[in-house]
Amino acid sequence: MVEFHPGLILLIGAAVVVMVSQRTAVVVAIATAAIALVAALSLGEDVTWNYDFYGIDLVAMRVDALSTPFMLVFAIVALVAMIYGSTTMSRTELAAGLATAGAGIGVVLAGDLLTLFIFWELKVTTVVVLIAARSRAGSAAAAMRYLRVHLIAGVVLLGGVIWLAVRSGSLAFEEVPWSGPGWLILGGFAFCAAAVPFHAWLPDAYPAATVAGTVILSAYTTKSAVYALARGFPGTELLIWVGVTMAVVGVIFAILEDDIRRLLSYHIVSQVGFMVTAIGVGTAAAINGATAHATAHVLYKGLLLMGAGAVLYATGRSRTSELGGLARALPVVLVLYLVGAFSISGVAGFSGFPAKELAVASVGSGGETTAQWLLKFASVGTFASVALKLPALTFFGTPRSASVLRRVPVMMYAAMGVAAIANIAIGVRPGLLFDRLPTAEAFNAYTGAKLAESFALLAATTAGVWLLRSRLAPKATTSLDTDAFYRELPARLRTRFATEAAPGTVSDAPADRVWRWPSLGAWAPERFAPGPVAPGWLLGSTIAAAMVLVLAAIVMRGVVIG
Amino acid sequence: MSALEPVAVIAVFAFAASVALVLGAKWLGRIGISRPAGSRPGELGDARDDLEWSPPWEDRRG
Repeated sequence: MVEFHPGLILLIGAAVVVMVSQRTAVVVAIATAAIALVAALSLGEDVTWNYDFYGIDLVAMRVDALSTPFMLVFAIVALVAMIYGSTTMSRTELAAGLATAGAGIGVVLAGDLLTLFIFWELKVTTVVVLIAARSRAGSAAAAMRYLRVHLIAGVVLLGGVIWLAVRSGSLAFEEVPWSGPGWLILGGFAFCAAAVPFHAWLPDAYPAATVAGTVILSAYTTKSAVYALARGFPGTELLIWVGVTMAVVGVIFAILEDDIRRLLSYHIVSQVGFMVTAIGVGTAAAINGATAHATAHVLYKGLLLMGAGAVLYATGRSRTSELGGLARALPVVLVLYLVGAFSISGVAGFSGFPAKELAVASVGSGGETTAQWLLKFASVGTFASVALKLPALTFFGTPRSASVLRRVPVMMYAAMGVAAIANIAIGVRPGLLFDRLPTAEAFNAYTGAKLAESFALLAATTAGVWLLRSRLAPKATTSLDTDAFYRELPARLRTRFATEAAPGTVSDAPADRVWRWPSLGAWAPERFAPGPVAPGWLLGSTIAAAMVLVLAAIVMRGVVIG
Repeated sequence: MSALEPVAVIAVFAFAASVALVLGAKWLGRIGISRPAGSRPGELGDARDDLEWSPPWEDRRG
């Protein structure tokens, strides 16, 4: 069989989608994702694709034991997401979704740091389009904040890559030496993994996208970074404590959150923390645990966000303070959501149980007992907020102000059904996942002791939450996070120093112009005429990304050849 | 009896952790982490605006 890069298939499909009609675009998007999945499944291990880039020998595709599980799950979710969004996504969004998936697969298959960087930055650009595709001032603002912080992270990553190339004369992406450039590359990866305190971009950006866009975002950005950390920095002790902090901080914010998609976004931070901790431990079992957890997480988090998206689609509400009592109107959504909730909580029989057991056990067997207990603490918070608080306040109890105004499309149910089956299949037969992990390590999650401990943790958590259920009554709030430094502070300074324009006009005062240029309307969209801003930021970000890539290529060529 | 010991330990731990987590998060909310919805710059606003959306092929035929 002909071997082809699944990421490139998705990128070609994205280019076709923008050129055809809406109806054709939907068919092309689903067909492209299906072909990419077939291509991913047909790739054997130890396949490499080398190419010459201005005299530099680069590796566009490296299929090995670590990249294979990430590639496969990325390809699966691309198809599921296209099915889920087939009735709601515009052509632009379909193309951006395919391109994001293609770039994500490009990252995990990249055999050198320059190829990785190119796909990495391509992903940033397509994600910006995905976020802004909701076509609201708030989503455009969130997209711009995402772009600004990720461009900074991209520059840090690029600086590390160039420095490493200068020092070692090689761009090969293997374990990165622990030195100056290693710090920069680690910083770039950790930022995209949403490591605390650089995590606030995630719960800011993901809920701002459309219902289908958020599903795509949840799969590729942080998990690409998890792969990169597992490839480049296994056994880096600092990551143990970075990961544990992410796991704990994520669940604390999730308990506070009112918006169901922000709540689930904070749980991405928390769950990625489990993976980062295991990577920090770095044993073969721990890398298996991180990979298994990342793979299962892509499947169950996608399902959770599809369920939350279905609620948002049907009711036009996403806050628990406005929801409630939807079980009777949306019973299938509830059942499918609970499959995802039981998976993320590590309930036996669902995908999260074997994956999380392996990850947490590997941290303990690596000698990190304190970290292991902190991960169990985070597991308590996960079950409390995702499987107890969110469904209780959304689907049960007294209806607050939301009612079902639109029927959930059949294709949404179909996509959620596929994801639910995948989660149950892995939960019942962990070998489906464990047989594809980087190293062959025997692990049995279904022992009497592990099942008893899991049941005890879930039952005791239920008792604790029941005791304090009145404290979890919903309030229409949002949480202040570390994004205040680039979100609230500039706005306050602008308010302090800028001149107020008359309503409906754009102030031309010098102070306003200074603030307007970097923000491009993100903080004050009402101040901008709709004409120049909307095309301006998209075109500008694309040109900026292209300039960064060209500059990187010129520098790399000079460094490696000259 | 010894086989039940780790199960009892994890049960007590989980109960205490869930209580600490809920009370701790609520305390953080009270001291200023939680803000009224819509009070931060660049927030999404009312999700009901999405209901004005219609299928792409009805208004954006390519």
